[in-house]
Amino acid sequence: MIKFILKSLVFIIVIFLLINTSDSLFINKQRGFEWLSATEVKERNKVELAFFGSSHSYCTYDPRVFEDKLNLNTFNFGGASQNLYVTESVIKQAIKTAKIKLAVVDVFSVSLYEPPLTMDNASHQFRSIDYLDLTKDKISLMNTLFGRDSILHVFPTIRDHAVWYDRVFQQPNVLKEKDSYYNGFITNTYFDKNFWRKNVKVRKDKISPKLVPNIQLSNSQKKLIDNIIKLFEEQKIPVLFVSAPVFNKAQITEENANKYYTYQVRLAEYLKGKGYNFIDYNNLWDELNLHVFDFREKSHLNFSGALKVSSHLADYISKHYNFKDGGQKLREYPENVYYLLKTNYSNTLFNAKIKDKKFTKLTGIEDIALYKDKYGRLELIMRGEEIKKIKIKVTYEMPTYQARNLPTSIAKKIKNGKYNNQKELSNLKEGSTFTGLRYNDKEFKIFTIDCPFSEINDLRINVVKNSYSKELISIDNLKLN
Amino acid sequence: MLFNSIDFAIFFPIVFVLYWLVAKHLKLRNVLILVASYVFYGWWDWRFLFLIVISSFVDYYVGKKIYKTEQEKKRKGLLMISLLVNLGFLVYFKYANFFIETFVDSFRLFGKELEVSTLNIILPVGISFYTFQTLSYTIDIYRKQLEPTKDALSFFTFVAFFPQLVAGPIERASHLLPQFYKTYKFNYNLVKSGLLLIAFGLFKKMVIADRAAVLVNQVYNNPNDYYGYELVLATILFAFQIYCDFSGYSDIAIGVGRTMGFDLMKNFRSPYLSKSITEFWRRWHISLSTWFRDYVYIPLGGSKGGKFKTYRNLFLVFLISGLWHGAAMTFVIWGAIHGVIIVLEKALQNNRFNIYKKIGLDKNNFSSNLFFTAITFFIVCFAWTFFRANSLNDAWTIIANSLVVNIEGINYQGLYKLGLNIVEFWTVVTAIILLVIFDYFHGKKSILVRLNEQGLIFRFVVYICIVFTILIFGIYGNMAPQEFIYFQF
Repeated sequence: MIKFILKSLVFIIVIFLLINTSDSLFINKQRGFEWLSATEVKERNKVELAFFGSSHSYCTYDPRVFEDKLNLNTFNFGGASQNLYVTESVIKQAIKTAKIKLAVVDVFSVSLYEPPLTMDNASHQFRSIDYLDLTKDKISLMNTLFGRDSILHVFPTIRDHAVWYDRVFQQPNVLKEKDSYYNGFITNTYFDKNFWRKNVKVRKDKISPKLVPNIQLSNSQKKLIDNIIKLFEEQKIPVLFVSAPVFNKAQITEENANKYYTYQVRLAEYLKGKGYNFIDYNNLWDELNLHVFDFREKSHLNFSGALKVSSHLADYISKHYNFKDGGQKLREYPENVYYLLKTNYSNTLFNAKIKDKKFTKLTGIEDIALYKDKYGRLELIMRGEEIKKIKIKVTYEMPTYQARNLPTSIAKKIKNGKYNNQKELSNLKEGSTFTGLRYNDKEFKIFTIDCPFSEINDLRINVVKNSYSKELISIDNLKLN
Repeated sequence: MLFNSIDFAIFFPIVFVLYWLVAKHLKLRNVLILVASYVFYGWWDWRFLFLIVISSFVDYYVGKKIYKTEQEKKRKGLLMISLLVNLGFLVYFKYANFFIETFVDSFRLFGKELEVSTLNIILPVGISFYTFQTLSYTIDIYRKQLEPTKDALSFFTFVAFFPQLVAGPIERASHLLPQFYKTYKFNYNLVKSGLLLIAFGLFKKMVIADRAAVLVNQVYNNPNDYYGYELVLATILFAFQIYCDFSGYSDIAIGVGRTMGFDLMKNFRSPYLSKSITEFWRRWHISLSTWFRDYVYIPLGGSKGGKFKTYRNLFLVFLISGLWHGAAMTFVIWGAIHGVIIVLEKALQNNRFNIYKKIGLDKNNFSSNLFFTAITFFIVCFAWTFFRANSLNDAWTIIANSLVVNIEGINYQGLYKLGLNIVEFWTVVTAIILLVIFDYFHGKKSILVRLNEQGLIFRFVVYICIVFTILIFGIYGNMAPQEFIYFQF
């Protein structure tokens, strides 16, 4: 009997260890930034300024801006539809390893959802839960959110076994054109044109939502906030509560808009009562000059909106918090576009000032640089006073052995070992007066080049404006590792 | 409670540990098994526990009375009480609506519409199994082949023994009941082989049966939408679905029993490797076949009354067997097909051997074995069509549509639009091929014995592979655990 018990225990432990190991194969790598963030464990350990919350967090607070303005290593721990129960666990894990100097927690009505969660909302929680270490706390979180029957769902191997093929042979998102990330922040330039067209005349959120008297924070919601505050207090980490702006005019019903607004008011009241600052960016539209083109869709800011909010918040932090190492020598952030713009492209793969005045007049481009982003992807920055509608044409050759198992989006652009892509950079302006992104009084545009290779040859980047075409960059051989 | 549910995954280890903690104390151990069995059954619907208790109660006392009574008339009367109570429950819960519908349909044939509504009855899970098990006890006592037990606790435990309560194997009192009179010592090898059998049963059920069911259900629930190879494929997959479903259950039941020291009878012996339908029934649902042989075929006269009576008895047994499986004409026809083929095989037995001799066919060489196995499998599949079809009309549609040549439909698009995508389809096909290979070699020498001959590390790796295969390829989780097909019988 003892022999059996001992052998069974060894067997069960081995099985669970193997399941825990195979979990990395079963995590949904297409879901987005979370998987990529997980590859940045080293970055996470160095975090000084940390953002927590839902997708509102990872679409709004751009670590690049904070790094550039505050000279602090910044990471955004936000996760899609993440509610505060999960946020609490994410914080617990983060403060274990990182020496956080300031924590910023984004809260709003949806992050206060209590179990039982809807199926859709429930499945979103795994995007964050899957990246938490397997601890007693994680199991207890599963029990709180999904009940006893779902505790084994803590293992993606068990939970998502039915889609084993898709998961095991899934290409990570990093190779997809659409998405790009920086320390947890989604930097992609995706814009929902339909949303813009629909709301373009609104320009500003002029809705006046009303307070719903019977909506109050429940005791468990208050307890959740208290728990989070306690976690930071124990570690003597200052915490700031914020709320990202949403495009309220696009809320489905007035009732929803009122509900949303009421929760914001209640949160502000409660946090103020506790002596904590709460910045609700829904109240700062005019100050930030926010408009519909700063939103990718009704609930999330885009690259442009994130830059506005992040810049404001960075200034706020700089004024209200005194970090001891503020005067130290600037850190190097070679993959941070804002840092590169500020330092006139230090340490880039290639940079140049445009000497052709006719070209600058036609396109607005004054200087350019080629650099690698956080995931080794090539990006082209173009800067000027006002960059016009242009076309970018990129060609390069890669060793054939590298051009295997590529995502379709890239493979279709490769013929006979040569990559060829042309894209118009004018989408942002359609039907609007929107004039692109401005940083330090200059406008800039970024063009991401699909390049999941370690080495490429004969790279040529052309800019085309009407009938005028200019080769901006030509490099015979480029080693990217 | 389903064997393939999280509930059972929690229930069984608890019962297992408690069982071995009290294993030395016979009464306590039997009380534990009885309570566990009632919890196991009550998990599905506690209200029907009373049926098991009444059946157990009636047969315990009737058995005792029959044994004590000398007068044949009284003995018969007592036996009738047992038959009436047990078969009464069975007929009411399982066949009442079938008889009402058949009655109404037969009047309709003569142009008369009867306005009789059917009853709203829930079929208690496993009623056909435990009824037959408890009946065999009374009948054996009546035949003076068995002495009644004086131990009511053992008898109630025998009737309700949870591993085989709801889907067999249908045990005989002479085999299982004495096992409740003695205690067992923990036997490491026995427990290990029991656990392996459980794992193998779960593999059959969760990896093959439940996956095949997706395609089978899609096609059989819409028979008018499919033709040719699609229906043939669905029928072949159903053959493996029902085999893996039922034999998987039996494996788990036997395995669970074995981990507690109990020996339950073997229910399947690679039935699809049979070379005739007669052999098929020696390998398929053995506990039911032998039950029908002992309690229906022999009382009808068996093979004693000449050729014609033998054929009649054989045919009747299969007809009743069909009806036992389900209260519908499709099951009756399924039984009838097997009955007819068995009678034909019996009637032509001598002629067949003469023909083989004349054409110089060696019945034992590989190619003839393969040929006869294929023919048998074809007949079994044909009969399964009736078994699985939702109605008699559907069955005819499936057979007619199966004959439509649909070769051009066999392509990448068509094959994977039957409910299983390319990955799922080839997963089930691979698993079935592995199962057939396993069955083939298992027939020659037990795989468990072969495995035990291997080194520790090899065995450890095999066990881990088995668990991972079930975890990754099994159907469970978001998809609710599938019931076993034989629960409805």
